[in-house]
Amino acid sequence: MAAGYDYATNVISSEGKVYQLEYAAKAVESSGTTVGVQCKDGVILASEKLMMSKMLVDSTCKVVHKVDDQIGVAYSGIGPDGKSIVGLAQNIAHKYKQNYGERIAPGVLAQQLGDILYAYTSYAAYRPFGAHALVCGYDEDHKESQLYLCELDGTVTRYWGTAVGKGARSARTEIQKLKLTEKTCAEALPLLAKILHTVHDPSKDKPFVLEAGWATDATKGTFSRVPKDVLAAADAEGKAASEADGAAHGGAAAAAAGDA
Amino acid sequence: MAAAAMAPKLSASSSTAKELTTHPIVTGSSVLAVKFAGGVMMASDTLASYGSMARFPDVQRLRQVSDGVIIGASGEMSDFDFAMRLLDELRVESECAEDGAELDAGEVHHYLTRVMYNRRNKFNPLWNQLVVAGTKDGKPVLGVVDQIGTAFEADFTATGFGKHMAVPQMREHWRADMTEGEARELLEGCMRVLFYRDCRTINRMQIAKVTATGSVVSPAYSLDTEWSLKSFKKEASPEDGSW
Repeated sequence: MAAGYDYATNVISSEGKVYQLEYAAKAVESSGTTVGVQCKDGVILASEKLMMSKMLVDSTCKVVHKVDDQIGVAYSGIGPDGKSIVGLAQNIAHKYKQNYGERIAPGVLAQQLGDILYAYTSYAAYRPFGAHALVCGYDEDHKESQLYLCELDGTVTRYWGTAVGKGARSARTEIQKLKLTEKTCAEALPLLAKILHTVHDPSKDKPFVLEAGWATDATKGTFSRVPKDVLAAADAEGKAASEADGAAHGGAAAAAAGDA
Repeated sequence: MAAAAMAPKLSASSSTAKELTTHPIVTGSSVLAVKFAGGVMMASDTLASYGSMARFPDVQRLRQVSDGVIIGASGEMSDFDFAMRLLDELRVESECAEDGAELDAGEVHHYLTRVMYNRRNKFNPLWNQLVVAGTKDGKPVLGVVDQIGTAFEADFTATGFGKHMAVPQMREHWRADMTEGEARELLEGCMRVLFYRDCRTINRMQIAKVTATGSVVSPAYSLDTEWSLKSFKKEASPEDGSW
């Protein structure tokens, strides 16, 4: 189908596709799921960090990162590409503060990050990033928390809640059902953990570690990792809820994860 | 040819010879600091002068870098703002690493010595005398660094006019086992003398304290003063004033 139209990002195929971007997106689709939601009192990012080996230390290869006082970025996709995106985001935030003397708004950061991701799709000498990034944070002008998705093709969109990665499709459906904008972050966290456990298929996927960060009213808009004990409790609660559901629906959850 | 070589270069850039910070503009006067049993205490007034004019009476010259580190500054206030911005950038960078590590007073002091010495070598100094207070491994740390990069740690110290007027009092009254109250009394005594004698100060000061449990900077307050002392009275003879 690609017939020679898929070698470069500066060629559009006769069907109107840039195949390299679709291939890059495949890298995201085969990596751990990351979800982000805007809640009543803040915003959360949570990731299913797949562990390639049982010998890996839990805290290694972080996918949820702080990039400025009030902003966090999480990614799904090729690890080093994601790390590089986080570095870019930190640079953007740093430069903005140097130039304007105030913190960057999450929307501005997401747009600027999108510009860079886009630039990497438009030059023959570069390859696109192999990761999508979720940007969340507190917007001081609008006095609200916000969530943005920066896709590897440069698309930047704002969401109430979304997911990227392997289990994205079913995770998005689940998020939509939960009406998280009416819940607090503390209430939402175990529900997100449940979603990640549900889309995770232990028989096919590598084991995972739950990672999460939030910027909430309780953290005064500061983005921080969810404290270990809170995260562990949410993880256990989510796992139990997911298993209970799975038993009730006779493995329907596992099937849903399978087709995602 | 020879004449051309001898003639001074008068290109646009050299006639307006590259002039860097050769003198401070908006300045703060003394900062005083002493160690006491379990911590460090610092004091300064809240004035930023424009030359001899008392231009900005409400400038905070004692600032918190983190829970455990406080910096006090004499000299150019814009350079102080700049130094604080460098430290804030370091803080954000460090917080983004999410490893729980935080710079202690010893590290902040050392960082500032590198910045100040580097800028002096560029002949573009940050025109300040900075006093860094905090704790390191539970022990009080009190460090000083100035615009030429001179840096040292001390049990008590003063910058600006305080170097002349407060240090002698500190030498006389300071003890390693001073209580917090005694340290405060010593600093207020020194600040009072400075208010009497230093023309670049006002009677509006702040005290800051760092202990192992954290730091506080007090709101600004005034000291009681006594102007009826004999030495303040202007004698009849014009040659024999209070000085």
